Amino acid sequence: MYLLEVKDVSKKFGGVKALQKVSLNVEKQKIYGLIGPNGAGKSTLFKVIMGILKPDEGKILFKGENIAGRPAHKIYKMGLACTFQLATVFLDLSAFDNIRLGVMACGKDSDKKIDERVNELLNLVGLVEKKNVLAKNLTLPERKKLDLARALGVSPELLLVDEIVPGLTPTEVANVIELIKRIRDVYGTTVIMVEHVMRVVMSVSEWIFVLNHGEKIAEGAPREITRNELVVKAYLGDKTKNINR
Amino acid sequence: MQVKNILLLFLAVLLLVPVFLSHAPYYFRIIIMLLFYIALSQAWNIVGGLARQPFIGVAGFLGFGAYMTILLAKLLLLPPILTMWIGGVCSLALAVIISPILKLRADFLAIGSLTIPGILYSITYNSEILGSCNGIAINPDILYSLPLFYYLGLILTGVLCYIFYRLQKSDFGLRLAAIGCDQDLAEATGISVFSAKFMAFLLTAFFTGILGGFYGYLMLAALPDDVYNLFWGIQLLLICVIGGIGTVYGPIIGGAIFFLASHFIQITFVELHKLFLGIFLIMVVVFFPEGIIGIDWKKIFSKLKG
Repeated sequence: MYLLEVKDVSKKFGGVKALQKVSLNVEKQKIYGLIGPNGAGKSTLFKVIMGILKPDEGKILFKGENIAGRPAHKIYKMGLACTFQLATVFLDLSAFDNIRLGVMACGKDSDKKIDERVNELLNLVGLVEKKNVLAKNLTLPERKKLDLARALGVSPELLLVDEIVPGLTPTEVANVIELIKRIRDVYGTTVIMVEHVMRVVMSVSEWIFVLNHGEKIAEGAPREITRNELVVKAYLGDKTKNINR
Repeated sequence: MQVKNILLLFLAVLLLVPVFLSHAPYYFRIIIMLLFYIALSQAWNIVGGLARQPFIGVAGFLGFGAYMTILLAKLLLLPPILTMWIGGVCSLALAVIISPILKLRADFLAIGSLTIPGILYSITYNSEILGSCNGIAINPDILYSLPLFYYLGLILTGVLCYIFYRLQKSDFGLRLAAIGCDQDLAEATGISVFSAKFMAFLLTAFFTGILGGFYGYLMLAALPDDVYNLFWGIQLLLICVIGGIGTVYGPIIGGAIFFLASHFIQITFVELHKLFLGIFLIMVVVFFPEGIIGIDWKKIFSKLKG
């Protein structure tokens, strides 16, 4: 059984067709890439999967259950988490409290167990010394890691990562990539990454979905995608006929 | 040990205030009103400070509590000191009924919340039974003693400060703080945002209703222009902001500063006090948007030292 099945999901905003019958299947413990030019509908697709937006039609099966239209907080508790562009964290709360909120969503655990889990996540992302620092006083890379740790609080089986690379130096990018790989390997989490930086997506994804104008135009292994005509056309426009490949 | 002794001394002074002020009813009433403002701000602090929901229409609960307290006192022939608690429950019921308003956000909630006291004002103003523009009054023959109001006010203030303190440290308080920071992120982190806002809203409404009853009892009357005045919400917001919004000491410090400042202004500029109060408020909002705690004391001290 697939971990996530998106079936013919469509979403309109007034006259704009943000998503048109998008379908994709996601397996367990893999890293996927979701790419496409600006305005392709990647963030919209994420928001629909997460529960922030309701799809106009289609089904979204997570672990076999249709979660389309369910409220976001219930979806998170089921084990579907996400991080957002520009590292959204609770700015007025400490790093510890940020992660604690994610862990608390699991429910009944004792305070001691919750604290243990928070410390474990602080360790994973390397923010142990900053645990009492307010999120607004952390640097951008630190906030991105905090965002990840917060999302991991509920031990999600699926993690959606929306453009985590912008604003990071090459070393920091490498760190984040390693972190994501570790999340997959150690926690068994499936990760779907939306990214614009091609070398990052190509180097870490095992399978890639490509969106353009709200439609899925291609999917496949990274190698195939770079050679796919439709994908190249989507990014570079029609006048690529004369480029040697 | 030192701190404990100072606190005990402070507590003793607090408890003995009526003794000192027994022959100065004017100042006694001022102190009672100060306690009232602190308690009222602390109640608002729950939904407005912790959860950062700008529900400025809090006069709706204050007035409703005041009116219900006095009405029930007259109808059931019970003393207001008992009916004020029922006034609180009535405000709670009102809060449940209007709770869908919590789906509004930020500015829309702020403006939208003003419709509550507005509607209640209209209903009250136009109804003979409720005394229309003259309001309703309590028979002054009942038990009326300033020390009673003082101790009652002290208890209410103490209870509200304690509740806020415990709330802030609780898991529920953390969720409210998260909602205050970023509502959408809170929702995406497993917090049922509407439920949490709803609970905070009920708490604020309940205590505001009780305090409304307290106010009606103290004034021996409830007048629509007074208890449904939209300015209440703005006052409470400012008190919390001045003292430090979302903190337990915020209403205490802010209440003291605001109350003393507005009294000083009222005494000094009898004719134009509202104008100067307005100027004071604008200056606070423009120059000290984070209140007392936002002031960079270190910078000021180092500048003074030269």
